[in-house]
Amino acid sequence: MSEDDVLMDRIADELRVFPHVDGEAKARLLVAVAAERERTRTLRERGWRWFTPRIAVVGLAAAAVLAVYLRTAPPASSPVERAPVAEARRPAATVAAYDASTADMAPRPIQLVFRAPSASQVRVVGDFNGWDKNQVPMARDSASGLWSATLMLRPGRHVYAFVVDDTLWMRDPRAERAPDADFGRPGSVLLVGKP
Amino acid sequence: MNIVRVSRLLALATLLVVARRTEAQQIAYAADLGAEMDSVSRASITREITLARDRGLPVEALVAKVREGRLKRANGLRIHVAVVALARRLDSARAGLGPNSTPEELAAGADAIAVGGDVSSLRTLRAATTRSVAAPVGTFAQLLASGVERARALTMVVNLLHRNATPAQLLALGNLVESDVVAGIRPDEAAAFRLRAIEGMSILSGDKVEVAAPAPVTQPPATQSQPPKRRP
Amino acid sequence: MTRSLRLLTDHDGPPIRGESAASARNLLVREARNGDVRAFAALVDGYYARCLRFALHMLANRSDAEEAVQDTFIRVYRALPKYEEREAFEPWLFRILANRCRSAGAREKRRSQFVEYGDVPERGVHPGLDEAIVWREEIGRALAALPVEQREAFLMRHVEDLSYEDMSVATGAGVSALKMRVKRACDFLRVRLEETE
Repeated sequence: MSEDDVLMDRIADELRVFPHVDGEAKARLLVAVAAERERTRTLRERGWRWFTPRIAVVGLAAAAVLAVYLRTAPPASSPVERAPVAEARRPAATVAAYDASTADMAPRPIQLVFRAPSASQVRVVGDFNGWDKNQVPMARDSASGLWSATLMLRPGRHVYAFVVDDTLWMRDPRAERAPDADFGRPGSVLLVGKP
Repeated sequence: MNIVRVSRLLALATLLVVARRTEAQQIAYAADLGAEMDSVSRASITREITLARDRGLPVEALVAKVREGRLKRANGLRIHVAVVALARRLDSARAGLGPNSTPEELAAGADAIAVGGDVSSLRTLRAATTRSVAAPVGTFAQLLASGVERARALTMVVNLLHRNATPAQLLALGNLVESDVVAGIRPDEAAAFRLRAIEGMSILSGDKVEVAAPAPVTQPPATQSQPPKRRP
Repeated sequence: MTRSLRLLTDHDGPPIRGESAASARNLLVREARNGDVRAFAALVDGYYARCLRFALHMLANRSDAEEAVQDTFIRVYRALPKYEEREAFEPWLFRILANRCRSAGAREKRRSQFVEYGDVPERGVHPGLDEAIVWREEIGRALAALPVEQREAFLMRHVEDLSYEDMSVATGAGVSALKMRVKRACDFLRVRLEETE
């Protein structure tokens, strides 16, 4: 066996080592497969149930009406659609359900600061605003290049991050890392309220 | 063929389709499902959220999950998987906390399920108080995520509830234990230490152990509701 | 189903090779195609580690590799009704996986300016790293420096043990072109890694 062969064998041996498989990732995949199966089965069943001659006629007629509707309907992002949806964009339920009688649960001001001198826009996103990047813009201090925002947060554990220039996801370098099993991009942990 | 009947059916079918489409558009818009997402994922995610809503689950958490995925630039499939998994956890949370649970309670329950909590623990927590269980369940989830063993975490929270601990006290316990664990202290040790400290400081309302009457699972939650404890 | 399931999954790590495994696999594929999710789960069990290994070597990033593998299996599941039994399963699976890795790699290139705070690799922080780790890292860097087609061909041939015919199915390239890619990859790796050895 030549030296070349030995070298190639060593390289291949190293590359053949199996990586650690995250059982949770595999489980997530199977959940998705089960959902996929459910989806196709429901579509199939629904297709059979509805396919009767009379309904076919009705369907054709409805399709014609629908075609007219679709041509005149506003696009999904049209402001016309905004009104009913705006409520769903905010975690309004949590605010409405809050009981002001428990004074120790009152929201308290928390200032977040992020250094990004060259950014033209920085926003705070987190579980407290339903990960809506349009809710908390940060203000820039031109002298220091620091961005800051003050949030009113209730006691508990919050996860947050910064969105820079509308596209970049940035963790807070000064906070603990919040692992993320769903998307693999960690956020930062903010603990509000200790005795 | 009865023309009146067909017309009625036609009108009904059209209304249903139009309503469904408008609803799908609303969900797509609220969840910021951009046009660049592939159509299969887009449709699957919208459908999953609609089904969850039809089952009576709160859609805010699911919509927030989609937005989170979009911000993190996850692809459509991965977001779909995350939404399906969260919907399943919300289902389990509702099985444990009862059908009349608030969205905050269910969100906290889903967090607990994600880190190893089970339906029976959620039932126990629901039965331990007549007030909202959002904070207790959130604390339970935080303790589990910090590595505290499930039975121990459950006992701690239930005992504190029986001693009328306030939601803020419970949440503080979760925060302290998490900080300790981050600092290198063993989870069970941190939990025991912090529990003793809280008891020693007599910050709970009286030392007398009062066991609240267990609330039936179907009973609507009390008006006092606490903010959700978020995903550990 | 039970027997085929056992054949393919009663072990950790790599799938069993050989004829019995091939027939078990065919049986599983058939059952999965008929809608048996447990059979599909067994296929996932049997191939997940291997697919993840390939994706990790192709993309050099755990999160992207996981995503590529998950996506691959979902695509496989959706495409099963169209799968013809006379096709070999493995090349078919690797065709989907390789496609997925290629598009993920291209996307990653486009957003290469995207750096997360705290995620910068901490190379050189531990001077006392043992040689095995240094060697592994060197291989990783050399592999990453290969053009995508050569890296893919090299991995399929020397790591996944696919025949050139199967590789041709998986990549869509001709056998002679693939042999050339593998040869060039080997030459490059030799030159690059001989000094490290």
